[in-house]
Amino acid sequence: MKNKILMPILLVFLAAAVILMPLLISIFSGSDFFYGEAKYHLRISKLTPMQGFGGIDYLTVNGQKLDYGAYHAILHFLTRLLPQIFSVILLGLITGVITIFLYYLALLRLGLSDSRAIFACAIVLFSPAFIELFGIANPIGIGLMGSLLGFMLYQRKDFIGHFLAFISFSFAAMCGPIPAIGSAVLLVLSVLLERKRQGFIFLAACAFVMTVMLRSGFLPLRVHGPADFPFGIITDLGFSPGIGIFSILTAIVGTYVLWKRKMEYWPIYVSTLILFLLVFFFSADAISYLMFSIAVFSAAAIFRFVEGSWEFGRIRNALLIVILCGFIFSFVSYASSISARTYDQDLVDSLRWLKSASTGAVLTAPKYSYLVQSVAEKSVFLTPKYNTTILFERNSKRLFNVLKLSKVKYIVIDDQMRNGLIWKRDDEGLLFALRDQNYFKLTYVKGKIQVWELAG
Amino acid sequence: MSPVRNVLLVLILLEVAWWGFTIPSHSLSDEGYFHLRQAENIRSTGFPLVNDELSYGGRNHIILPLYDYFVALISFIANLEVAIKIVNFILIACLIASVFFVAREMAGDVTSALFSAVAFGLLPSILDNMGSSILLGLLFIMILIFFISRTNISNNLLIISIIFVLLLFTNIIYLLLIIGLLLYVFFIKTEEIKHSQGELELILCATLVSVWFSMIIFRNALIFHGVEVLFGNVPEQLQNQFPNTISLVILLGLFPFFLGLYAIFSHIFIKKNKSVYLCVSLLLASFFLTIFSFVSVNDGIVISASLLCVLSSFSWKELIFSIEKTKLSNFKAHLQLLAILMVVLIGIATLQTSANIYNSSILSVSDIDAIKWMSNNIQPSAKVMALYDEGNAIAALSRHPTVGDSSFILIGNSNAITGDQLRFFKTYETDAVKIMNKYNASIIFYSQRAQAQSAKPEFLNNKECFELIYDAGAQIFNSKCRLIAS
Repeated sequence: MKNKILMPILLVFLAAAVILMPLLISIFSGSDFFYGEAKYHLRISKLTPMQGFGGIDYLTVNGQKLDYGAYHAILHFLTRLLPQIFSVILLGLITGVITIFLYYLALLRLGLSDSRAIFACAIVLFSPAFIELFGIANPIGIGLMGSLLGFMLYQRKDFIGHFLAFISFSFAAMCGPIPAIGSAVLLVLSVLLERKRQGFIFLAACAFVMTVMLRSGFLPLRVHGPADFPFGIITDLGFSPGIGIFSILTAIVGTYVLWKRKMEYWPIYVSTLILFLLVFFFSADAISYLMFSIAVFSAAAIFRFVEGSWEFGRIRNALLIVILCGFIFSFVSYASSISARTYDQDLVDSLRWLKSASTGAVLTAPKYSYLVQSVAEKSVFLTPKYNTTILFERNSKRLFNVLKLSKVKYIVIDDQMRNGLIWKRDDEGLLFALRDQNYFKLTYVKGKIQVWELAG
Repeated sequence: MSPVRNVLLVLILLEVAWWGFTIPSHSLSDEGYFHLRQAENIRSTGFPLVNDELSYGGRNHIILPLYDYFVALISFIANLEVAIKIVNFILIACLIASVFFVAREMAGDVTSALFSAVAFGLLPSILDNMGSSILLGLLFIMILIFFISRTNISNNLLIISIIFVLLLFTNIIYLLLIIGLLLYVFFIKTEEIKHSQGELELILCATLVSVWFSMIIFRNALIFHGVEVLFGNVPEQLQNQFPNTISLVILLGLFPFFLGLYAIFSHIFIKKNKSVYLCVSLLLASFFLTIFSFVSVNDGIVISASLLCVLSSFSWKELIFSIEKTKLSNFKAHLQLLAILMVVLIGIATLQTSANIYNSSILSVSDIDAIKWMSNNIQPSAKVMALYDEGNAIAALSRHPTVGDSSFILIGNSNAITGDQLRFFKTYETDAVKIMNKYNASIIFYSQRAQAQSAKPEFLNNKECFELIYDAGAQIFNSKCRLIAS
């Protein structure tokens, strides 16, 4: 009994420690806590919900819709009380801890033993995707919490429970398409598990409301592209967000182990299959949900290794040590990759210079678009969801005309872009076109950063 | 002992002697020179060369160093170049013996096993892997197959574990072994072949250990290249360079190929032999990993050929058994000797032809003399432009930095660099100068190999730009021009 209380408490503390890790790493290693897309979320959370929901992003040349959701609205109110960095951490901490606790309860509800549920939770905690969800600014985490909360509330089987579940699922849908789809999957599974008429009515009502919300134009609809098949979900192969390779390997063994009880665990099998399809054919963001179902299979395999009969006991011990080392390695490896998340100081200085330069949009690698928006406060021509065809245009006149038409005035190029990020040869695409001094002039150089300006 | 066995035994000894005489007369492959440098560094510092200032003008290596330590150890009794050749000879002799033991364990017949060993000794594909760590890796794989195919695996658990760990530190082909073993599990499960639980436990453990090991050793490469690292980051221009069907059959060994295929057919579809499933699984793994460029073509061929040699012992045994049942049984020994004669004659012919081809593909004596001349007559910091598969030899023998070589892992723009090297001797003057400037290279090494591959480029006749400083078969030029950007 004592253990039954102690273990979930320990889990909560472990979750808190894992969520705080990116902040601690950025403090000790000097890396940027707000790196890449986190900068974008931070920037748009400065807008009030009235400005944000359904608003236009004025720092894009073609006026893209803002991806403003419930996460940004909550962050906006929190930042009125606390500094930005603490707001992000506090929000991640609360949602992360609640999520892991809800996941634990959900596993118990699905019939897993207490120890297996704890183990599955620990596997999730050591997944790089979990840190990516709650350790940094990421709107999907709070949506995930909404989905799990809705699932658990639905299990109350009374009106209040159903009503609160409806609110939770709707809230999740306000955090983006992936939480909306994740909620729908959980909801359908809950209803199918119960197989009662009022459940189907509830499902229909939720589906209607979610569809209306998503089509209203006020909610964020942006998703990242699908993961590369079949390795695009493995963190150890350099993909982020992702799952550690040992979680996946043990999950494969776990799938085999649990196959004999497939009728008992069919909701987990079905949801895993749906999530795999989503990850590889719709959006890699669905990894956030996938890691939870993978952890169940992974825990089953590890329990089988521990409890099953072995011909060679020494091999079993070696295997368990290797698995443990594997989990730790994936975790540490991911943690060290966080410490490398930092922008070149020359690039930041160049963008600071650009901030004081006259107005005009900026063309650079999509990877730097969020940095340009937040440091130079200028609109960008390419955001990560656009293709980079323009960067391969060799005809200087045509390039000049296209950029002029889009009100682009500056082109920022760094060493990474020259060496593989965009181009592989020094006379490729735009690099060749820039040689024409009739159209382009080099106005600023800092280290290996060049800022070019359109002539005239 | 029967006369047939005597003849086979004598043939094996002759083969070993032939390899003993042949190996010293060849220079090493580019990979051989890479290992030479590693062994040299191990001798002087005790550790492999990780931060290499010469390769690509400065880069890091990921090393599986066991083979290099072996060479370094032997180099205490001979100089490094001789040591690497001694190691090659020892490995080939051990491989012939290992093929015999594996075939005897599997087929349960000494004569058939001797035949397999003879067939292995005549494989032309061994030549292409001279100086490569694949031979040591293959030896470990053969030892592992030997122990795994034995009935009582529990007595050999310790030795299997030790050999497996050694394999991990030798060559990336441990991944091929793992994939092969997983296929083996799949086959014995689906075909419901009797097996011990210990076998499965061992394979599961080996799989996870190898994944974990790969994650640690290749961590930087995985982060740097992502999935591409599985393909060795081999430049696009060098991928899928498969030999044509006839060359492939010759490289796999004419008789091992056909006898091996017959053994697969007969023992998988008719007799369901567990050992054959093990060999076939490894063969399939080798085939697919080679097709998908996970392992190099040379490595894939030598592994497949060795497995086919082992499998051919089953066919040989069946052939003899079939003769015994006919009226020709009185002439069994004569027929066997006749067949062996055919195998040996055809084997020698193909081996000699392959040896000639191999000789033309490696650096000639005058090439090596030219490289050694560079070490004393050109300032050490001068970067050398040469064919990509001469880079390691230049670094090893002249200690000059090179534009690039045949080790591609952790090289970010290997496509561009190798592409520039491949087109250098075929391009026009402005482009050649541009390439030299791009890599800050000042010396051009125009080997006899390069001369054989394409006609001498016109720009090398421009003495104002390219000064000929060495000319004795191989040529060395000093590049003096720079391209001024407009």
